[in-house]
Amino acid sequence: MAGLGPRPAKGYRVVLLGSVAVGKTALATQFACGSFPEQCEPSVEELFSKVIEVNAAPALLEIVDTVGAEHLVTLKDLYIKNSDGFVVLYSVCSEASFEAVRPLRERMGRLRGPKAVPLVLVGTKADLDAERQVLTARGRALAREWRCPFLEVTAKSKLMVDQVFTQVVREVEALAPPEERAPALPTHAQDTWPSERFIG
Amino acid sequence: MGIMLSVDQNLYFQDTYVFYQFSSDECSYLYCEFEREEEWQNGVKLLLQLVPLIPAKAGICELSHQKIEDSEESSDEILARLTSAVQRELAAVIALKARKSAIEQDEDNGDKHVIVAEAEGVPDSQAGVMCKLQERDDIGRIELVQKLARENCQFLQTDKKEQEKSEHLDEEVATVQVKEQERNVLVLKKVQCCGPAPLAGGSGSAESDWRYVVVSGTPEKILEHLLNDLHLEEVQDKETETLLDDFLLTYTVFMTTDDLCQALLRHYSAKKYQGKEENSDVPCRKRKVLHLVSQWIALYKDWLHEDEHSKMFLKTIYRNVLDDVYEYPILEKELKEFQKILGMHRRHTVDEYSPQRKNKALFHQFSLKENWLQHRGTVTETEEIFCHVYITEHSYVSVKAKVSSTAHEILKVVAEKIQHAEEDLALVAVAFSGEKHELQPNDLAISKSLEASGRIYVYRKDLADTLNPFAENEESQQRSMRILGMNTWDLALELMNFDWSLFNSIHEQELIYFTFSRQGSGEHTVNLSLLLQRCNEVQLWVATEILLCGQLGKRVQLVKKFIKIAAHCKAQRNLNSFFAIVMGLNTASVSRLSQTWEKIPGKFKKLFSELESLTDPSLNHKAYRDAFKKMKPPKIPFMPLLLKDVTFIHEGNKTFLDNLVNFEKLHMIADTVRTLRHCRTNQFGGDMSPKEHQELKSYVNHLYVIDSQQALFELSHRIEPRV
Repeated sequence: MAGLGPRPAKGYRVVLLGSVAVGKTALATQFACGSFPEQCEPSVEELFSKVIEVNAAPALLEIVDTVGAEHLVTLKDLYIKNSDGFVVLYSVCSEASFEAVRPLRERMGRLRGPKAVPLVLVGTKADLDAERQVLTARGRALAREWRCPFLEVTAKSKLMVDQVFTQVVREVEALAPPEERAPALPTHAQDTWPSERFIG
Repeated sequence: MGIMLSVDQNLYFQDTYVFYQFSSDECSYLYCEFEREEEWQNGVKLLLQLVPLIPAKAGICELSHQKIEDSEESSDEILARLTSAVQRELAAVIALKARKSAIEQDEDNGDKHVIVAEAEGVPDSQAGVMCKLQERDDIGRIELVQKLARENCQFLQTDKKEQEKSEHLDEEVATVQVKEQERNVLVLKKVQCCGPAPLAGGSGSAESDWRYVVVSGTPEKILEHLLNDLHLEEVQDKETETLLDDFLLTYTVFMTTDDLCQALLRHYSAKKYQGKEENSDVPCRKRKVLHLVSQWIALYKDWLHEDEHSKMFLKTIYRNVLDDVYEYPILEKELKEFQKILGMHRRHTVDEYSPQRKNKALFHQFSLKENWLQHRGTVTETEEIFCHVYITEHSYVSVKAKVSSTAHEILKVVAEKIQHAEEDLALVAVAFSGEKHELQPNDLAISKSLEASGRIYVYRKDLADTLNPFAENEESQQRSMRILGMNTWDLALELMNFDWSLFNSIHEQELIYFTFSRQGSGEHTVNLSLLLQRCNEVQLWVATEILLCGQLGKRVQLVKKFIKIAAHCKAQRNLNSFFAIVMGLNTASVSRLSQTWEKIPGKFKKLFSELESLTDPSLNHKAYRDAFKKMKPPKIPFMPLLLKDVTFIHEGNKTFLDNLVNFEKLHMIADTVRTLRHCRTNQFGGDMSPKEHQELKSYVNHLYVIDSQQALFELSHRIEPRV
């Protein structure tokens, strides 16, 4: 199926998943704006794309934050099938958002089939201790079950947010199949990439 | 000999924090009785010594103003300190220099002059306002010079080193900082202006391409700057217009309405400096204030009338204007404008002003969220509200009804939606505690008693008249797919009509409230919330309809139909519903129906794929943004993304920088509001649906939705179990 934008030459596409009001936008904003002293404009194309260093080499990381679904986690299956990594978010102040996370993970597993699911489990709003509903231990336990990194962050801290994305990219690299991940500069990335990227 | 005057007209000699002016031609006495006294002479000598030692250059400014010519002769002409009022004017005028560069006499003025208002070397120096210019351009001319001439000041040429000291910025960016008492109160930035500056007698020099925009400032200074910037010609400069718009849209962020009213009254009533009332500036300033007020009213409409402070203010200023119009007949025009906008009658016509507004009142809509009535002000009977009538805990019918609707009327609508006989149904109000109360047919459906966090449910009445609730996901067997028999284009049209009625009633201020208030919802963002809710409900509706369709063949037809409706929504430039339908088709519980999707013809699959590509979130929703920009208004944006943008601006930029309002941030937010405004232009006519479409209209206006992801999944697995 068509319908996806062109991929960066050597890059990672990471999707933010989670129920409404967990702070996906705040996280994305911190990612996009954290280091800029100038004014941050919302409609810029490359807003959520940043060059980061992975294994001492530069790579382009694009984060995808979907909008608009309140009651339903509506993300095209295609995205789940073809993204590189995931940040699964819940708010430590919302039990409901924590519970919504498990079916998400299941769906991801089903859609991707044998493909690895590089993900990071993140509990947001960690600074709001007074309103906490989900203990850190539970998040940690779930992450252990999924064998993925676990972080509790607040979107207000640029350091923490950067850590989230560094971790996710590390996961992607760690879980990548042994062969070369992708040719350096696919000319028609959109055409070749869905079938060639993951083998098996 | 001269006279020392306190600029602020204080009687008491206070020494510090008061500005004094020493000028020689103020003194009209030919004989000074103190002349003999030694102390007096010493005092005068001291004052004379305070004059900066740079000699006045004759011929610096060739002015037509008589006074300066006189003063050239007397070197006693000094100003001990420029008054802060003058400083302000200075800053403002310098900021406006590009526009005011009507070059006349000063063309041959080769010297570059920079006014430095430092009172260096003065013992009790309180550096007044210091205006730092960081470029060597010539300054704004006649007006400035004349103004200063009136103040009897002397032009000083700064040392070369003074200019070098100032930070060197490249030609492109220059900042003007206006300070009061060592602290910045206003920061302006030089930017290239887009269009030609509308300039009477403009010289067409390069300066007219540059304007100054506000970067940050204190609330009062920004208002002052704005008032100075305004001019009374027909059309404002684009930058000034934008500044005015920005200010009026966002002032609530840094000023209360009361503060603004007080400030405006102060500006309106301000006597000019030095008590010279016959100054032509006074009516000018009054007119500017009135212009601002009339713009304010035009922008806010009803919202202003509900604020006590602004009501008071409008009455007060109206009275002031009525008084002043005799003294300043030039205010006549503004008065008429004012009256038109307020819908008030002149006092000497029939009766006193009646609050009959010429503007149509905004369509207030309320949402009965969980049956809590959220409303602004009082609710009238004909107002429409949205309420949810629950079938089960996780499914409801969204009903748009008048406040005065009876239970019977609502029941009728609901019965039709769930395809159940009306006689067998009853409306039951269920309180949070579990207490149930059946509504009789003629009871008001929405009443005060519901506010105690209850919900309206529909229960079944069996033969014994006992009420039983519906169970979750009950019978969905022979539900007839009425939608299949309806014309697709008309369905899309009715969706559009509904969305427009919501979209049109969103007040621009709702966006501001949404951005800056903590919860982002409440009584000030009702209409915005309703449109967002609608987006959700359409998504859920699509999923619900499909999942309640037990027969594969019909289900396939249904999916095809929704794809077509989505395409129509896009053609009708209703992107809100467009996204909603596509997202509804993509939701997990629907997209997993592989048997259904397999049977969709290739043509439709291709169409859906194209539609989907518009919703691609990569590159910050580039696909949608590009396409939407190209569409001509009227058009409805995808609201959740618009709100995400505005939230982004808010979270990614500080509102206050160094205790100054970060006006650039507010400008960005105002830009988003202007996007909304732009989308709503070019509309004509209203809802023009013919009578035959009533049924269709009702179908689209009242949606039956299941709002639980879990319930939807269950249905999905029931109709197509996992293989």
